[in-house]
Amino acid sequence: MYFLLLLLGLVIRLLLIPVAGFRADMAFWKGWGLAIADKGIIWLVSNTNYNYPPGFAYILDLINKIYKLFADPYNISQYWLDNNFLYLFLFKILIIISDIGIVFLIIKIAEKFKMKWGILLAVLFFLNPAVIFDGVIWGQVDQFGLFLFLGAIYFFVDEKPQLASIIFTIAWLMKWQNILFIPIFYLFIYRKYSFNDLIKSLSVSLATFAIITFPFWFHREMASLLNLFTVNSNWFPWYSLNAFNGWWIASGLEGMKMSDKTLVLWIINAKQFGLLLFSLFYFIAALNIFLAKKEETLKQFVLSSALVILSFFHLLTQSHERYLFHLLGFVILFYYFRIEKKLINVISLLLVVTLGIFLNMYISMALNYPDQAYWPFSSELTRSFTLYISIFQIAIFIYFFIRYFSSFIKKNYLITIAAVSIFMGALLMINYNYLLHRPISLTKITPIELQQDYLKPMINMTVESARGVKYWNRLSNNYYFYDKGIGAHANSVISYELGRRFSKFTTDFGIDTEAGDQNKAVFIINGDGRELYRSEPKGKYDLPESINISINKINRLSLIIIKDGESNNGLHTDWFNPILIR
Amino acid sequence: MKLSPIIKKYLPYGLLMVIILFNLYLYRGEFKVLSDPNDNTFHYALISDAKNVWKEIFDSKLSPIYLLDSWNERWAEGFSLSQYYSHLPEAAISLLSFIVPVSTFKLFVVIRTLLLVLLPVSFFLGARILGSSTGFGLIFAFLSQAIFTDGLYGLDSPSFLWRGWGLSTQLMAVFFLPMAFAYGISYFKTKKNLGKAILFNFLLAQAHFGMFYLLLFAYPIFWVFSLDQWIKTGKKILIFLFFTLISLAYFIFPFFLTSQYRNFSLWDPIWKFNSWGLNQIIIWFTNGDFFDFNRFPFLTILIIGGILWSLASTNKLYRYLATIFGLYFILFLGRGILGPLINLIPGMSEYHIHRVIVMVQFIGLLIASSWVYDLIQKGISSLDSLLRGNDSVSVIPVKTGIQSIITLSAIIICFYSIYLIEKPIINYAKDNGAWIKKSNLDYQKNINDYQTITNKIKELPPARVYAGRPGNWGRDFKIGDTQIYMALSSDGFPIIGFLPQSWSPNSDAEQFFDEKNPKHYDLYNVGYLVLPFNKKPPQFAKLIINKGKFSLYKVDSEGWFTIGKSSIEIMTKKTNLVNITHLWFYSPMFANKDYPAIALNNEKYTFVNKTIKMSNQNSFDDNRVIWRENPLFVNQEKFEQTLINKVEKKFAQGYSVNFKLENQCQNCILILKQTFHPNWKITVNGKKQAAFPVFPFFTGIQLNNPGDYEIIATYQPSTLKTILLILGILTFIFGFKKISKL
Repeated sequence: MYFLLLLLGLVIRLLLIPVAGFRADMAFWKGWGLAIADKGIIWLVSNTNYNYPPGFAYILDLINKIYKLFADPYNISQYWLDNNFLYLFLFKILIIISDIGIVFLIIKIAEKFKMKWGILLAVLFFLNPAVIFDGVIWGQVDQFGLFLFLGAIYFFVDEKPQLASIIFTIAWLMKWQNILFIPIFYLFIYRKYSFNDLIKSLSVSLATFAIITFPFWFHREMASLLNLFTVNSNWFPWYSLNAFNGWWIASGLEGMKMSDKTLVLWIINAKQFGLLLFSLFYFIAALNIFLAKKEETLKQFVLSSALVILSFFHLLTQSHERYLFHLLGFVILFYYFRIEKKLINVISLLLVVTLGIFLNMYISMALNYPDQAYWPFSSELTRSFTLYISIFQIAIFIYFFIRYFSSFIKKNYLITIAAVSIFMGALLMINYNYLLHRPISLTKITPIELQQDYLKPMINMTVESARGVKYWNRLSNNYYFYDKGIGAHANSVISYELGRRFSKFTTDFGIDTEAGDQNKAVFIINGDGRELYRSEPKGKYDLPESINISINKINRLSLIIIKDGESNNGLHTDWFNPILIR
Repeated sequence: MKLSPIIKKYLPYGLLMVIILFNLYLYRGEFKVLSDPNDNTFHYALISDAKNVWKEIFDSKLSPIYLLDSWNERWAEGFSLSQYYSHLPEAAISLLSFIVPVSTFKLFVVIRTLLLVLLPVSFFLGARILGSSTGFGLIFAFLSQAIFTDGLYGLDSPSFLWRGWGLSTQLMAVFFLPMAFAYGISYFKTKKNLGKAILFNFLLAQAHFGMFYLLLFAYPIFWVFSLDQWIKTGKKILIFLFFTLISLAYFIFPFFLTSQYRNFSLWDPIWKFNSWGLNQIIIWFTNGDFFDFNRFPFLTILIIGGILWSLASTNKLYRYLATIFGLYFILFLGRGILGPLINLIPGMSEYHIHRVIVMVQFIGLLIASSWVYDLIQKGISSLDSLLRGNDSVSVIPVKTGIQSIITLSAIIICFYSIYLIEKPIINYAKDNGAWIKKSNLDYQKNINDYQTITNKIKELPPARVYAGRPGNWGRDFKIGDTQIYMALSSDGFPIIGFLPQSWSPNSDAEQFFDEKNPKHYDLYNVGYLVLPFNKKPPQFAKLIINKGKFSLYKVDSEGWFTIGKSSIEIMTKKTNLVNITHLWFYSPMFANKDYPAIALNNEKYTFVNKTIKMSNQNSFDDNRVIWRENPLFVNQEKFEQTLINKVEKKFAQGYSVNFKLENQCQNCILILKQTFHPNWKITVNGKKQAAFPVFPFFTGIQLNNPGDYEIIATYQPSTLKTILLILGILTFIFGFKKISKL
């Protein structure tokens, strides 16, 4: 019976292969695959918008190489078709294999624990609409990440921490979300095994990392790899990327239209606030492992991992609609590790979580590609739906936290209070000057918009410093130096959302010493689109000018520099010591 | 394959000799250097200055204490460099130069090259002192020779060679570092070698106090790894630190107590103070650039593997090494990561943190050597046990064959790896040698002309010399590959525009010297110009002599002393001084000889009309921005006082002037155009009088009443330094035996 159901799951998947899915994602896979097959992984990472881990690039390379055996990827009219069946098949078959792998692991782990409902849970996973929708319909690869993570768990159950570490390293080099677990993963090994096992695990992880990233370090291109690791932190700088969570609600149900650099609490922006909250929950998750009894560490590791993934989805800005996917596997593990002793509870929890994840993804798909999903409701009604789903998912988060962590917090309330105090302390420290009505340097606030004709604006350094450490240069005008300020280049627009929190703005400005001596620039300050100040054209040998303007009730403050004349060549310009006053 | 015990014993020494000979071959061109294009110009100038002090001591004009603290006039309007920088090695080398039959410069070249060639010996000895085997020592020695970067100021050869940075004091420090560290640890572990531990740490500090200061952080951490004997180890660490610091107290206390008179230069690149930041350091480290520039990252892999191996090791020393490696690495990340926390460590707020690379590399190499040695030992023993197995007569020839193949393969791989490791070093050294030759040829071609010019300057009354600067035509005006301004300062002439050190508080403002403005020549007492023969001189310069590609000009200047007034006091931190000083150059005050008085310690000068307090570089008094309200832009009466019948004299470590002042003088000051330092002692007509700094950072002396004056300014080492030196010596004489037995 179960095997028939599994077979049904497989048939459904095979039938869904021709679905074009989330076209943008599929187009990226194709484009990146072509790039890596043609030019190699370093070129892919350095010259395209590739923002997935290096391990995934090898998968795309493999797909492209197989594709080449059967068809010509340079045949544009065929290769780029949304319903290019060969490509869809080659890509989605890997997703299906991952799903099968997860099923296999669910059964194998159950066997390790000698539990009889493993196959049922495997079927529930395999027929889970959220799993099917995310993978074979959408065309996403969350399955890869979950499969490998569960592989690591399997080896932990099998008491093979080094093998687990290898698999885990591959996991986060395949799917970024797994990077979240790195600290608690090794903390768990330290707690469960020993310091020496931790070192051994780190060693094999490092070796695995070195093998996968071999082209980068062998060709001394670690800068590209490091850039790849960090670029996602600001790839889509919005409140929420269709993740129906608290940030989605806070954005007025338009998470992809609101910058997460908007100030939300005093001078803390949404991204920073989310990060602080996430850190607090992560700390609790880590503490849960650290304080666990030795025989319970793996159980607590699974529970903490679930908390981490929930916190990641709900507390951080820039969260995607799919970021709860791992939970679909974790909840099943709850039964094995006796986090939930009753099977019915696990199934209920799985159903509730599935409902939230599925609806979130389904509506996101409908919003982006209406032809890929049946969705008869108006946009207004859809907005309301997203609100309800957000509330529903927040409720799951709260329920989860209370159900599984309330006793831990009660038991360790002193440490929890300390953690919360540190969190509050961090909030106060960041806002210290603001709360005391002291001047705030604008350099402490992250802009919501940056546009510049050459390089990028630099904080407390000249614009040329953006070329690299050996170009670092102090801000100055005619060799009059400034410790603080923004090194820019005409033409440039730097905008801030200040939330009407300040009344005055003072700044000096001028052409930097390192500028060429031919061209002139005009410095403009706009408030909510209205021009508040415009300077005379300034040349290299003009001394700095100092201004003090009212920005009372101004939300959006823009610092603009435009060239005065034909050329902006060498117009290295600076906002010196820009200060906000409450 | 068994080696005979004698071969086994002496093989590592033989191989060490091979490394030395290889170094000797590699760096043979260094012995032939005739002039330096890098920091060695500065180091040689310090030796030459120390030699001058010795001469004065031999002539009984100065006391020997001046070897520890004297006035160096060669750059940036003078500075008491030896108070803040390496001085005993310079004194020792210059003393040696009186004995050996070669020039002081040649002696310096030979010593520094030998230090580089013999560096592996120091690493070998360091390993042996730590209790390791000769094999381990050999690996450590080899790695110290094999490390290679793209000139990141570490302990590798590009930091020291002619085409590199020429960091001779750092080379000397790196030479003493392994032994200083090893003796320190050896004492903590065995209670032996206290004297040697103190001596080598003292030598390290003398060579480069910054390196010693970094090493100092490592010692207390050893205590954490000896908690089973925490009282005993703690006591030993305290005794060691007590004596080492006592031996250096004469240097340390004055250094920190007078730090406000040491400039924090804005002309130095940001990365020197801040280091390179997390992003760049991770990139360089993982690319192999800290240990293996331009080759497969052999050493980097060994270091990463070694760290993991050390952490897992049961040997506390290895865990200790891995820990301090981590700490140095974190420190090396710099201010971008550590932020203001780093300033909590005394002295670190102005430290060139990028130099922490030396400690990262040193400890890294020690860890890598430990791991490699362990791997080799395990490999040999595995091979042995594999071959021994269940010995039976029939398989012995087969096993011998396998052993030979494995050994031969290992030797081939080893040699090929060594070839790959050494390849970029050999190429670098090859170019270095070729460029030295080229530079020497040019030097030999022009030296006679250059000496004609310098001999002429020596005949003329002393004044500062200008020969361009790094930011203008001076950069390409050279003898050999040495810029003329560098060569002149090396040869003992006080110059302006070149900053091999930027610690003089005049350093930053001096860069505003305008070669077309005669008042600037007056301000700095620049009396001579050395120009390329085809460069047009300023109108007011008069030709003295043309020789080859050099032209010497005279510019009229007021001399070392001048009179002016001081109507305003600037109360400021030293870091907020540069912009207001720069502004002064273009203010009516400058034109009217009004030199603002500088108050670094909130002093209140009574003779000024007005006081302002700088709140940052560009604001004063409650954030009044200097661009909106220029405090130096005040109308004032023309200053018309002059010094009548002025006669100046220069003597060892000082100046004197006789003159007549005719009229009562409001706010008048006499200015000595030497950088202010509290060690300047002033007598006015035989009576002591306090001096104070005035813009740009000269020594000012209040002067109001008409009359005849004799003013003598003498640089005197601080009394505190002398007291601390005597105290230190007495502590060693009377306390060493007693305290070391505790």
